[in-house]
Amino acid sequence: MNDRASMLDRVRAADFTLIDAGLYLNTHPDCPGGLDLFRRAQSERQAAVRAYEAVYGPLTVDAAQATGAWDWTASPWPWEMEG
Amino acid sequence: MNRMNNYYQAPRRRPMRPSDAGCSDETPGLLATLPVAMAYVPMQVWQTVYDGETGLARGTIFPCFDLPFLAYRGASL
Repeated sequence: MNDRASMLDRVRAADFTLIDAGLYLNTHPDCPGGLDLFRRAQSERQAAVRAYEAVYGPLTVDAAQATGAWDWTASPWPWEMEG
Repeated sequence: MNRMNNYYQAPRRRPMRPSDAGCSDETPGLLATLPVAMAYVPMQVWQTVYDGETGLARGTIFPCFDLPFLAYRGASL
């Protein structure tokens, strides 16, 4: 597995944990374990996204750079990626 | 991972009749103490979760929800 794929996997895993923790908190809003898990998943996702975007460019359009050249369309499209 | 092939197939059954062998009108075990016609879903309790990678592969980060469907073609667990 290349670096790009494993960095993207890190984002996916953190994303999934974040969503599942959020669903749990919908029915257990005061659970310390759930709140702690959510916070950890939140910062892990942020770190994973930042690490990926620093090397491979924006994952979502809100992170696109419009200061120099437009970088949103510079990286490969999903169907151009291997795996 | 090959879980996509493990799709659910509803078992074909005819309606149960009182005369069916083994059919009792007594509710077994713990359920006997509960009122009839009321559905009850036990509340999830907090537990140590899977790491993100495992959770993504299993479809849940909570081990209590990691319940792969194993019964098929009318088989029961």
